[in-house]
Amino acid sequence: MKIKKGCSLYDVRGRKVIVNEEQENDSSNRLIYLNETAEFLWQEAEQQQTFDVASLTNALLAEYDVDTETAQTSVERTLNEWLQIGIILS
Amino acid sequence: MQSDKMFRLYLTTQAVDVNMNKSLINYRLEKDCTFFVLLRYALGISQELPDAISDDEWNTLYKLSQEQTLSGIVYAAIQRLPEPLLPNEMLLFQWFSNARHIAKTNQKVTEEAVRWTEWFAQQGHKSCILKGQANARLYPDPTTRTSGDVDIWVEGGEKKVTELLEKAGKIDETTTFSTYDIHLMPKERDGVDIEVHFLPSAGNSNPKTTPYLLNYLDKELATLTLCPEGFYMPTMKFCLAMQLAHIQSHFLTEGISLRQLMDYYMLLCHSTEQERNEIREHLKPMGLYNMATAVMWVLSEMLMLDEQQMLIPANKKRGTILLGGIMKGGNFGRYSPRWETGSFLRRNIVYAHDKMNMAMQFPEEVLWSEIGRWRSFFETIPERIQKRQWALR
Repeated sequence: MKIKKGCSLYDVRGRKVIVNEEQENDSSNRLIYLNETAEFLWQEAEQQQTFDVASLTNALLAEYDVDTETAQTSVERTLNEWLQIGIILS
Repeated sequence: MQSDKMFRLYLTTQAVDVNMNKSLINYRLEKDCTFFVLLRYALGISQELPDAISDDEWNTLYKLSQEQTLSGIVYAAIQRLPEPLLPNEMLLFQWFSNARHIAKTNQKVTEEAVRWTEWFAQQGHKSCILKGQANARLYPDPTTRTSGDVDIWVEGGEKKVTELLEKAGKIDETTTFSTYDIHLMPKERDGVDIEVHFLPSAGNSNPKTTPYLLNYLDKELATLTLCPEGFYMPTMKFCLAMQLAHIQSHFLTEGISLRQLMDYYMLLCHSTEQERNEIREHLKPMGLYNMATAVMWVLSEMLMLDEQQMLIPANKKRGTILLGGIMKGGNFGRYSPRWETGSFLRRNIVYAHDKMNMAMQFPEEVLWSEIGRWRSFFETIPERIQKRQWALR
């Protein structure tokens, strides 16, 4: 997987949001607000450039005190939702 | 690890989707109102802030900033506010989205201004940008100023400029013509309107002051400055005179927003005492004296304009009428209640009532504006008959 071109992370007074710049001129525009963990995953995804569930799960496990199953489930769910929203590509 | 919900999805729209149609009617634009406080904070004029801003008031401020086309400026204040004063997240993200749109549009409009400047230069014509992106350059952050179309003055006069545009295929069925400019509509859906001015100003319908104003502006157009962005700017004296006339013209007809007043504030801040002194001498023969006193008062209330920076002493009575009109109508009068009244006749009754209020403080200006308006009405009767409608707007 990779991040869709035009999707970037912005800081809005300490809140991290993803903006899909290619959709910005649409009358209905989506901002995706990320909490701290999601922000971490996004930044990892940016760094890895090409990523999958395994690579992001490993990164999550290295950073947070969490069991493997929980980490993997969370990453899978998050990536599926990002795919649906259209900010990453499979 | 954080909760299951790793992200939240916010749907934002360009249009404000909050039910507050009535709340602005009671909002008083006065020296200590939160809206003005935030504008001053954004521009670094003052560090004063209110103790608290409620959700309701934030919604009102958002709508007000949209109507007065100052949304980007207020967002500049939001970016520096203490955390407890911030709006709720939904509104914060809406505002952020809006501010980004303003910044991107600014970039696009500047590119168009440069493109047209270069095109006219290739055709052998001098040009300069009026208002718009030329004013934006004067702001602490030009990307925060809401841009509109490109107003470009081109030398040569009406006939030559029209022929040039016709020959180049720039004129089509969507093009509109006035006594001072040619309005070119963009071909693309999100393109930029271009107003090609062959006269630097529409004047003020007064047969004595308009020629004086146009003559003064023509002389100033002999000196143009190339900006780093790639377009030309007229002199500061030209800007001070022309934009005051523009404010007056729109105030007396369609209405005007605080954006135009803020532009004028920026001009004054960047002008020299000598330039202001010279313009002061010409205000009466240009028919701009009364309007200048009103503008100075509004700017003193809104942005604490210092007396040293003023063109002439402020007048509270005139300024109060100007500010009242701005508050009622918003950007070019688009938000005026008179557009809500429905019929052509009722709209004009509301319009006449407003005019009578103005006439107490701006008698000559209102008189000549009405003469110009009626002249235009009669001149467009054939068009109204052809379209089978009283109103062309």
